[in-house]
Amino acid sequence: MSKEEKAANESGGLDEEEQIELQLKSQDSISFPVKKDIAMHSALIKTIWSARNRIIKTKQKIACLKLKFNETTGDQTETEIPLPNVRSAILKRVISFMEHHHESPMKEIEKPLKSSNMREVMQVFLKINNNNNQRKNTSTNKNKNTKGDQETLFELILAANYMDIKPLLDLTCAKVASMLKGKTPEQIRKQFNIANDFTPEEEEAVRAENKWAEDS
Amino acid sequence: KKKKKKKKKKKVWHEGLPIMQGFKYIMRTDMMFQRVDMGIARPNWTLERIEELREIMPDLRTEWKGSTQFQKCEELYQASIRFQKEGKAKESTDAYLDALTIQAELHSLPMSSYLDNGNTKALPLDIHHHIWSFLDWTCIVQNIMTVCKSWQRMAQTSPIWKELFKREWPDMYSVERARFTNANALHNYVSHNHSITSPVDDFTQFERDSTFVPWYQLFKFRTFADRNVQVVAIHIQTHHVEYGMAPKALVTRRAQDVICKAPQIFRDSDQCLYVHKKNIPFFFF
Repeated sequence: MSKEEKAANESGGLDEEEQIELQLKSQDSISFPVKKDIAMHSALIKTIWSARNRIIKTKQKIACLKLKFNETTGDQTETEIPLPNVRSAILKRVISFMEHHHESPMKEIEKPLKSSNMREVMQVFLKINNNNNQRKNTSTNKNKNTKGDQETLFELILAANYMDIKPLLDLTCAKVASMLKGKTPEQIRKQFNIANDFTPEEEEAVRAENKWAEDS
Repeated sequence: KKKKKKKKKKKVWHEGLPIMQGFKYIMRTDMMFQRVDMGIARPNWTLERIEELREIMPDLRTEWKGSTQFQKCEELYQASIRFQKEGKAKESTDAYLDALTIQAELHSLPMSSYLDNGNTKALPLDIHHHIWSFLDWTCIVQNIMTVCKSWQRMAQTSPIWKELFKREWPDMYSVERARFTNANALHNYVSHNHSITSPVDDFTQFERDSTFVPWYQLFKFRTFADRNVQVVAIHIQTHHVEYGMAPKALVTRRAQDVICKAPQIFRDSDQCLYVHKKNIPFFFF
């Protein structure tokens, strides 16, 4: 809390700000109202918001000096935040993650992944997917990820990277890692639709070169 | 009083307020940055270069070529440079600003069509690294590197092995890093070992960012050393000898005790003398 209070003070610090709702605007121009506290989990939004507040403060100062007004008419900060790189379908999930994370902060995911923390990863992940998922049937089917789901997952990663939400980036990347874990190269290629561009001889050479990792 | 001064210093920044008295100094800075998304051909690359690189990177993307917005932006930049050379400052600035406006509208992330087929191509290098960092290192070497050429190349770059090294030998990490920030070591490494500098610019750029430490090679070496080399520590003053210590235990427990200046006699072929001086480890085989 103290951190947030500090941030609030730096960025113009009105008590009412706690109640402010920001409008997050997606690539396809759909706005999602999100409470300021929750939206601040994204470092990108935090930066945009505090920069805006500084500009407004400066403008008010200039107005004070020029017109010698002591009162400033509440020049309210624009609450719309454009996120041109995120589609609305993805933004929905990002928001539901931020809400979830706000209520019960996610634990740091341990590296390397162990099966015990995999379960947690999956649970949090399913929660985001279920909250807004129209295709509930597919997401309850834990073991079978359709290709559509995989694309969504990658879009989520890119969105988390762009909006700078570390816990979500960790969660989604750990999810991909869990799909790689314990799989042979052939299985990985199949899962991620990757063509094998090694010739058989080259592949053999790579295998031989990587033998050093065995028996450790 | 001191505290107040400090606070004031931190808050100094240009607010655009009118000057009531005294002087005001304004400093202008430009930020240069490079896109890190992978596998997209740069506009300044010639066709020959693209063809050349395509042999190494079969999935090199050149979609920007079809984009009119991209072309317009590029033309404006070129025009800006041309005007500048001709000494037309105003035209040059105008063209530059127009180009910037267009560039702001261009997607900075790969568009969703790149995400087709559930392939990881659309993800940048650092995200690949982040994903793999959740795996065991043996899994990365044995499975990830044999998936395809681009994965092999990406999995051998320095940043990921830096993290893995830190995880595996936390106490050796800072020692190795200190060793490689030495300019001489760096120079020697670069001039004698070309194999880690990969043929594509983007990767070398990344290597440079992580201060050129060849973490992959170091990791490999350390694994061998842990497995195959018998460690002998000799305390020169007391002639106290310890065999069979794992190097990581040695560093944490005995770093202060073990003294350098190893005599020639101890350069035994099947034994290794591991000594420690000013945080710089030496291996004698």
